[in-house]
Amino acid sequence: MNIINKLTAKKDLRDMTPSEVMLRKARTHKGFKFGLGLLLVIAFLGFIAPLFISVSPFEQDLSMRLLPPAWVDGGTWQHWLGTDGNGRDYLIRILYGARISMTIGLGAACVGMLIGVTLGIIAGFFGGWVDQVVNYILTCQLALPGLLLAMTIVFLVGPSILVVIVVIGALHWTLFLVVARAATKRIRSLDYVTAAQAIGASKFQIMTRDVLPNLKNQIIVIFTLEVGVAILSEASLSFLGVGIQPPTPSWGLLIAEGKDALFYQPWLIILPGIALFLLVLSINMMGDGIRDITDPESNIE
Amino acid sequence: MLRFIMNRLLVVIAVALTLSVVAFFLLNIAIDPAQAIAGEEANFLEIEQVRERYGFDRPIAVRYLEWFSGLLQGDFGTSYYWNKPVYQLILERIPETLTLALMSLSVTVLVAIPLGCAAALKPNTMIDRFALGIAVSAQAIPNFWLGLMLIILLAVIYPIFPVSGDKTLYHFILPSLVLGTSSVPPVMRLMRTGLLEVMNADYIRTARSKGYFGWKLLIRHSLRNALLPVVSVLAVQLGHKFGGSVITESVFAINGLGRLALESILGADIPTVQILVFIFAFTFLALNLFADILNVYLDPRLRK
Amino acid sequence: MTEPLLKICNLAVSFKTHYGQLEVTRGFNLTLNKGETVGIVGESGSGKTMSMLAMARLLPGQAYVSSGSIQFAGADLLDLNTSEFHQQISGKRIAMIFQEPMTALNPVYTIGRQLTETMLLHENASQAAANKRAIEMLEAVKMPQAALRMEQYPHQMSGGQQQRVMIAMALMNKPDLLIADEPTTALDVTVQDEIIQLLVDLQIRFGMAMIIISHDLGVVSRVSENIIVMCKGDTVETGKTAKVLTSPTHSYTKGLLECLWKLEDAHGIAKQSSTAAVLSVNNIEKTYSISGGLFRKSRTIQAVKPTSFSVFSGETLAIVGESGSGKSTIAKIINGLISTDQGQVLLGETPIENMSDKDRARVIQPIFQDPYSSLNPSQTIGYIVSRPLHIHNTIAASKIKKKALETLEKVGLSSDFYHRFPSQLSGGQRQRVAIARAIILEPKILICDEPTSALDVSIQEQILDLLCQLQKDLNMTMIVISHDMAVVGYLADRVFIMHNGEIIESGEASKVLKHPETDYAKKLMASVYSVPRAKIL
Repeated sequence: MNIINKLTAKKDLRDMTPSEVMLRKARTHKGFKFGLGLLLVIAFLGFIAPLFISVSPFEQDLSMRLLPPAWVDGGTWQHWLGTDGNGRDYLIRILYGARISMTIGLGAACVGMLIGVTLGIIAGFFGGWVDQVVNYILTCQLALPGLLLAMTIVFLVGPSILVVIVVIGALHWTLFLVVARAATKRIRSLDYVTAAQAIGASKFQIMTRDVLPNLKNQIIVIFTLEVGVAILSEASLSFLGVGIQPPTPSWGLLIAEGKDALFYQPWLIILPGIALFLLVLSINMMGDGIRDITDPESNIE
Repeated sequence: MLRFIMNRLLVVIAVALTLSVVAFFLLNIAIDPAQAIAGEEANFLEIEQVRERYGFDRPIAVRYLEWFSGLLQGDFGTSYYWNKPVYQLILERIPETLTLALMSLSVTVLVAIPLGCAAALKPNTMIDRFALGIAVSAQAIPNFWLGLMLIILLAVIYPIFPVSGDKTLYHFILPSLVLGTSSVPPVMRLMRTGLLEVMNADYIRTARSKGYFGWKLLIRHSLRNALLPVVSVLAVQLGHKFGGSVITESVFAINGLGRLALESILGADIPTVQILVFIFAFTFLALNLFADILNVYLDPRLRK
Repeated sequence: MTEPLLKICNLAVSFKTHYGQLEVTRGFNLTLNKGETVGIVGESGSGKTMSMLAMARLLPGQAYVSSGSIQFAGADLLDLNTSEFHQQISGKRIAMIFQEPMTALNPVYTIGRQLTETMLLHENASQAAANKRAIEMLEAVKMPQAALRMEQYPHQMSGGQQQRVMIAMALMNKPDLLIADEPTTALDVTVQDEIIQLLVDLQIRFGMAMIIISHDLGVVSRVSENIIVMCKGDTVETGKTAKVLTSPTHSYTKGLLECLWKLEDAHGIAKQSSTAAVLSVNNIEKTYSISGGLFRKSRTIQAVKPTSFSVFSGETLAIVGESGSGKSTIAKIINGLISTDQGQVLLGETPIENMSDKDRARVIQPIFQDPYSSLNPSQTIGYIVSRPLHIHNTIAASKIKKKALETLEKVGLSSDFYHRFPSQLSGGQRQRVAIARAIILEPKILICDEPTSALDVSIQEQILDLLCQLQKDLNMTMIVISHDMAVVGYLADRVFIMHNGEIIESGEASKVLKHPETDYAKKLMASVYSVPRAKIL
């Protein structure tokens, strides 16, 4: 390409508003597009597709136990992904599992974001002793063995989707706090906040108009990554038997149930694991993509 | 320097104290300890008898102080579930957990640091994309599933490693790979961004202008600066490995502290669980303190 | 005459980008004999640094030399491979010093190690010999207590001392050529003077050739006999410094010089100022304490010692001083952004701490140094400028947009800018937006904290003109905080000089700037280089 072209292209970029720049970066970011596409497919399979399938994930057929997937010897196209130890159709159970994983992931990340971002902005904005108190809470939280505590609480309170969401969320807010606090501190020291103070804007106006819009992007990135972390946490809890309880088809639970058939029917473990991997991978790739897209320093690829 | 350590030590003690309170109250309010000892089928009278015998009818604050003063004197209490002193249970299981934690940390360091360095030195090349791919995948793989897959592949289909157990160091190889992998993404990403930042720093330009290049530049001028933040993260990761080995230990049937924790929770064994929470938290804090001290040693700017 | 030490022909540097290559400099020529000095002058983005980084092989990743040749002592530098270049040339025959001494030294190693390794890398010398040389060089750069410094770390030194270490390091192998990239820009003016003097002395003593890169014509004209003026990647003028400065041929150089002289000439445009004090400062005092935790003693820094003064309606008062002199603290106190420990600030008759934020905002408004951080990047220009009106509700909501557009016009921005975002604006345009935001409430007092020091010279003048014009039109009082004597001279009626938290000299601008009384003020004024004059046009 010649130099003139480059210069005009560059000029275009300067004339674009921030959201136009982001949109343009998003359109050319391979990882983001892949992640988003995969996520949309999984969401469709989990939330829409089961509406058109008449099979129930809970219907047992003891004459059809432990069938392998259709493409393996002994499989049947009646059950594409085979059946589990109770003769339930594995495909529909995995599809329902997507629903549960995504609901818990989103819910828990929201809870975590609410706690972490609130504390982070307050600590970063007011500084001083407020910051020190928040820091103390943070150190306590970091030192707590998270999984152990989650296990204990879920076990004690009694497992349900809502409890799992709240517990995982309440134990995964530290990253939100650290990022929100650092960003708030940085923004607070910038001249546009001083300018807002000087024109008489209230603290609330400064937080909502100056601080929040400018740390929004970083929070979205953390949110995406935390959805992935929360999904894996739920799977771990369910796998250990202290999360979602049977017969609800959580992927972690499916893997735990399949563990007994490890030696002769590994499909029961492999399939939900791949589903889990693909879902978290798509979310993380989207998160990494958003990080690149919203970073004003990054060049367009 | 001494003041810095004293300050941090004070924070560690305060946090540990807070957490012991939280753990004790949480567990003793959520579960009725008398019920737990008496068992599921016990009737009201039996439960009340147990309550009186163990002193559970006294206020919870009194019981906490009693428990904590016992803790200070080395009395960790007695497990209801195993009917054994808790310290004995824990001592038996420490070697397994320690072996697993240290071996998996070695896996993390050996994979993440060279890969992170290579990616930072050649950004946007094949090696960088490969490293990023490893990080993104490792972040998305559920730990317990990776364990089961390795068992299927390397212990069942190709029987190279034992399926489970903790008799020899050889038994620890697969579990360490699994647990080590989970820490690769954060450490590698930090190593990569840290080194990239350092390589763009003004003092690296100065070193280049003095005639440094290649390996000499990396070793004499970049590595120490880039490793500073990695040290802290490694400490955090080791802390997590110590406390977070619940899953790996249960997948590979290793009799360590993590498995003890799981079994205690399922058995509603309050004395063991609260001591374990306290020990894990304290280990984490101690490791962080150690990392902070190491950082002061490595970074003269922090010395006063 | 013998062959020149350095001969650069037709050098072009390009950046690889997604769209293709972008040339940042082209047709760069330079000839330098042994022991000579040449200065390269240009604004930011002129490509002056790039051509030198290309020669020293320090170009950032995406940049490369796209054409040209560099002959150094008879060899073509571009023919050498990386290891040959680094082993034979860099640090040994060509040494370089940089703008930011704080970041240019490795923070985790001692000064001694960083000095000696330069010699050990290139010469087969013992550690003892290297130590001896390092101490010699530290003495050569007039570092006090040279031997003791060897064990110190960079953060234990001041900026000026760090720059001396950088120079000593560059001299360790007695290079043939020293490249100094903005060597004094990050330093205080009084220190700047010492470093420039030092460079001149050392160049003569060691017989080096020197290339000095600067945006400051004053610095270059003081040091070098030859000059190259660059603009947007092109060399627009070269020749003897005296000749270029007295009879520039290119319009860019002419414009640059005119701006400079206009700034220098503008002393004391006497304005009608009344004797009514719009702002009085009574005995204010501010001490910062840096707490050190439970076991550490907290340190205190007295940023402002007891200070009193008045500002009169319609005048422009300049507060001058180096970094750490307390001038910015005073600005923040007057703005109500931080409180005082003692004393009070009266706006008219009312103490500032008794006023609500909104009341104060209608009287007093600030303008900041860095236009890149003073505008909220996520809001449009229209929102930024009209926000004060929304907060204060002084006019009907339906008229707000009209008023905002009028104000934008006053600062020289068309209505097109209303829907744009700060990222779409240049530095000068952003500073205009910041001014529009400050004047939309029609405040009585404008506090300008280094209003132009982040801008290029040609834009500085436009912004200063705008400020003068607005002051006249809106009948405002201005308080200017600056370290730049040219800006002060251009704007100020009265001047205060601050040093270590105290006002040590005050008076009419023309008097204080031309005939300072205290020693510090004299030193400050002497360190300002004026560019040699001659008539152009």
